[in-house]
Amino acid sequence: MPRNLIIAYIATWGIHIGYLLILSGGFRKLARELRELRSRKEE
Amino acid sequence: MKPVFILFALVTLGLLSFGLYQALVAAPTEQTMGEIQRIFYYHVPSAWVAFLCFFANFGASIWYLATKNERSDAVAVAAAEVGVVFNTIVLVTGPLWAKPVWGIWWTWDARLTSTFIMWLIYISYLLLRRFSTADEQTPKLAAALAIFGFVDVPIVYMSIRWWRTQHPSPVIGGGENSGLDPHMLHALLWNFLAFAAYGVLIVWRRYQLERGRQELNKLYRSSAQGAV
Amino acid sequence: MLFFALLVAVIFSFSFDPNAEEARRIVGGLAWIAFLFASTVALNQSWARELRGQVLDAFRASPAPGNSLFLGKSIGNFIFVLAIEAVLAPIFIVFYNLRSIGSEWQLVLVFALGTWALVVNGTFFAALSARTRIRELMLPLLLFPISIPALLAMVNATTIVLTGEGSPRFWINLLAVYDIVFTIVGLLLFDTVLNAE
Repeated sequence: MPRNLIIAYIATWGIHIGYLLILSGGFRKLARELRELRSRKEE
Repeated sequence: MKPVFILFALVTLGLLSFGLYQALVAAPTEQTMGEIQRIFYYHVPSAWVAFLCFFANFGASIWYLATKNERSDAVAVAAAEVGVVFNTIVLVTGPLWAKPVWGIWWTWDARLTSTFIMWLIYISYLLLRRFSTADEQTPKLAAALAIFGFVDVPIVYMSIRWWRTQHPSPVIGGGENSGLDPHMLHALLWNFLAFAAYGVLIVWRRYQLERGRQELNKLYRSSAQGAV
Repeated sequence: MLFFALLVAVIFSFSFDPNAEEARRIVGGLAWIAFLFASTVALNQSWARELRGQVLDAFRASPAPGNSLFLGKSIGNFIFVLAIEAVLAPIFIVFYNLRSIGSEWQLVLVFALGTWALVVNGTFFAALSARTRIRELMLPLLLFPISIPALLAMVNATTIVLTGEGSPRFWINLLAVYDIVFTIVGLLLFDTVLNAE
């Protein structure tokens, strides 16, 4: 199988997985900020 | 995560796997280009999905300007980001396919140029959102830009098409009217369905993230005003 | 910004030393690069005075429609950039020993339409960029990709007229369509931008 074909398919999924990681990072940050805001309100 | 979402994710995963099988195994090998042509089954659907995302961004932006409904703004930014992701894949897989087959990484023909410029336009859209100091008003500014951008894309395409009829260049990807073997069309359409489903899935996920951020910003604003 | 455009002309002069025929082929592109950079500098300044003087608040309070401000601003910028081009064009003619084979009036038309294309979008995007942290950088980021069809048309039309090869009709028509489409879009959407405070 040609080298570029493999690179292309791996690159495609690499980019998609990269974006999924960015998204999950975003969700983690959101959860963290919500927690901080709530604990601040309880003070 | 809601059950519907998880179910949809599983279906999408199934479709993507089937698409992969279609692309690498079921589809026949192309006569002149050989195995490298299989990039086509990822490259072309990604281009279609990118364009659909940008079209969704256009619709959501207009809807936002008309209704000021922040849900549509969430759709707009989600669609733009996912569109850029798919567009990046098109721009990466294209040259990887072109170099071994046609001997050049790139040429300024109508399709490639439009794809590149579309990518630039939507990155500038995301940058405007990222660096805006307008806060609550950012969605309005972004929506205005989105309309400019989407209106421009067909103009770009037509202008380069005309230019290239005057100054022909190597046509990558078999020109505008090449025929397709039915088994190849089959593989192409399955991958289009799979990536379209995946596109909807991640736009949905990004939409959820944006809605979360919108709620968070509302909480920040109300606590800043002293309301508890 | 005059000096900037002049600098571009001089540097290109050194890097390419074309004969008369080559000059006619390349000056179109070079001139428009110079004008594009010069107009970007001008456009970046275009809302500065209004922002400093809080003129925009006063305008919003008045019953005047937002798009008249946009139109006025665009026309003002247009005249300003045309003035810069009027100074630069003779310099290009001198440096490259240019003599146009095609009609000079067509060149004037191309310059007018092309400049309007850059200015009408530039004025709108300058207003958008004013609300960002990276103001001066944002304008070219927004303007260049969207202007590409117009730039293609301007450069090709200029080159065709200078070299006399073929008709610039299609490019001039494209510029006219581009100008009309984006002027309308800008007029329709400017109120949105103005009221985004």
